[in-house]
Amino acid sequence: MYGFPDKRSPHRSNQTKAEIQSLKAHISLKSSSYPSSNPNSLHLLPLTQHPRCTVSREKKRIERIVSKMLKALAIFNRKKNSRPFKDYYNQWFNTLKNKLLPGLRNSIYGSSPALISIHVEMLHHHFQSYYHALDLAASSDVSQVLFPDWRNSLEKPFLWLGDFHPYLFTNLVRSFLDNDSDDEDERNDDSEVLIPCLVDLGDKSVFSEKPWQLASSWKDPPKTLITQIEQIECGMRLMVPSMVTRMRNAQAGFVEKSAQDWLQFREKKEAAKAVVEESVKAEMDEIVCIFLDANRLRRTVLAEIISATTVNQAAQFLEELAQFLIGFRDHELLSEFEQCKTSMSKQCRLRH
Amino acid sequence: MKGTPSHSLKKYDLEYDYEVYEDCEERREDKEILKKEPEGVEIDDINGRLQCMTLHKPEASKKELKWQKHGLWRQEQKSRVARLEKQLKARWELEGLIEEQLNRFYSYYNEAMLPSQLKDVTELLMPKWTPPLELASVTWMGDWRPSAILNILQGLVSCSSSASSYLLDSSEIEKLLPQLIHETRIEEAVIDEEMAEIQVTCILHLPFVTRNSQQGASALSSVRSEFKKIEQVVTKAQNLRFKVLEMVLKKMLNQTDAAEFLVAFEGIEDMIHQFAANQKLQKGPVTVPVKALQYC
Repeated sequence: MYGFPDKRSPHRSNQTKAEIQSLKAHISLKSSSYPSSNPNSLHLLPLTQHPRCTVSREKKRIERIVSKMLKALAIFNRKKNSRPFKDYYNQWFNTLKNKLLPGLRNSIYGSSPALISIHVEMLHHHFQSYYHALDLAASSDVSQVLFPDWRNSLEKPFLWLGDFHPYLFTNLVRSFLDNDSDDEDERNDDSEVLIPCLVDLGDKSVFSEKPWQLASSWKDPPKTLITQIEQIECGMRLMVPSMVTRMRNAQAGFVEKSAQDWLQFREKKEAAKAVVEESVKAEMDEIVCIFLDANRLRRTVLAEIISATTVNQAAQFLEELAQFLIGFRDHELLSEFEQCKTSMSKQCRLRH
Repeated sequence: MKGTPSHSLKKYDLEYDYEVYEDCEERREDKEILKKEPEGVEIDDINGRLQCMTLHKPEASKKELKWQKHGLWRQEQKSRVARLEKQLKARWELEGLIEEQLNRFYSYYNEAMLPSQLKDVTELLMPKWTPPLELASVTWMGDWRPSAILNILQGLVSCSSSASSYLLDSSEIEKLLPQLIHETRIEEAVIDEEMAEIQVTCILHLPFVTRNSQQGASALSSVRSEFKKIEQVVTKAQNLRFKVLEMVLKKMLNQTDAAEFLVAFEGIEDMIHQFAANQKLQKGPVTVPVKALQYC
């Protein structure tokens, strides 16, 4: 679906392999044909014209070429065997929007309520696989994952350590729970339980009313659900601040060391570069760990919510979550957003 | 001026050396002036002195010596004051430069970077012109983390106390810094909390949630009101950043050290930026292995 930069890849890769094979053969030929039977005669020649020298030089030259080509091939293979995360994300998003969400909605509002649990599983798996891919990308370059260029300017400010804040998941569940108690407070007649909403079923958008078993699925939630959500929230409250602190400490350590390095290597640019590389690497290793922990938290919170809720609740939760993600990429809203001026006056930003 | 000589060459050392050299030149000139004095402006005065000498010959040589000594002393006095004045001027100039730099920071944060469009708020938080590696390694809310600015000072001070003396008054600062870093981190945490509140609670006011599903203008207005909140948080972060910088430059460091700090700050920033920009070019966009994705 998303073509890689070079479509002639198999052909080119074969060609390169063949070239390398012939070069390798050349090297082995050279070294085997080397006249080692009469070593004494070689001593008469000056060192620079020594056949062993010229052969080994030639060999080295070819080895250099081969190693260069192998490197090129490795990069090439890496390109062939991996794809830009941006492409992956776009494809993942389109699958969610065009395939999985309509499927889930069909099962919820359509004719196949028996299939709800399958669609819930599929959607949940889709989210989990995205977080898995995000982990892989972070291990390759965490900085790009923390500041993703595949997210638009409407989404970016809402990202916490590369993706949505894990609290968002429980808050979405809470919004269902609160919503239901609100309904109960202001209930006048039974028709309020049916919530009319615009449902996008892929090929057609229809106004649909939630079936009663779905609309009432959040009503009088069992105490166990509330307790479980509270437990998840409690776990997050313990973990989130430590991640923020670790992130800050990683930066603090790096900056302090950079200041010392700068003082020490001001006049030696090359040495400074090597030192910076080393300390950036150490800092990024720590940040990768923090990111993986944050992502693990997102994954487990999601999984815990799915397992704590009933199938109908989980279906609604995932529908809402998917809709939420898709909403950020609404073309119309996005283009309006990008042209929208701020209304903030300078008075708001008074010094201190 | 700096008392202890530093083995590292610094801009200001060079200036200092240059001034010493100039002083030597001046002294040489002073001597020349003294030699030339009899033919100079005070020629009438000297004529008078010569007349005196002819009248009172026995005391003449002694008096001449005194006159000469006095003249020399006055000249030396003059040149010393001139040098002092020059140093004072340099000091004012330095103060002016530090002030100017601080104002530049202020106007950068509060005027030049003032968002005119909603999407500019995003640019402030995740600026496209800063390489991601630089963003990840030193920034918070789109620019230098305020407490990290203090970490720079800590790095410089810790180096000063061991080998080369980069900053003059390092012992005082060394005592003050941990407390200041602690306080700044608390302020950062408060701003972090505000941002998190937007990211986890206010986010549900956006028009994408079914229960507040809106279309057209009302959808945009709810986006706008959330972005206004984000902008306010970013402004708070910028103010904290500026406050820390102002405190370092005006309250914690003496003038020379403040100038040294600014030079170091820029140097460190540039060092990290160069490396990050280079990495961005070399690495290219982040990828994921296809094989691993198949098993997801």
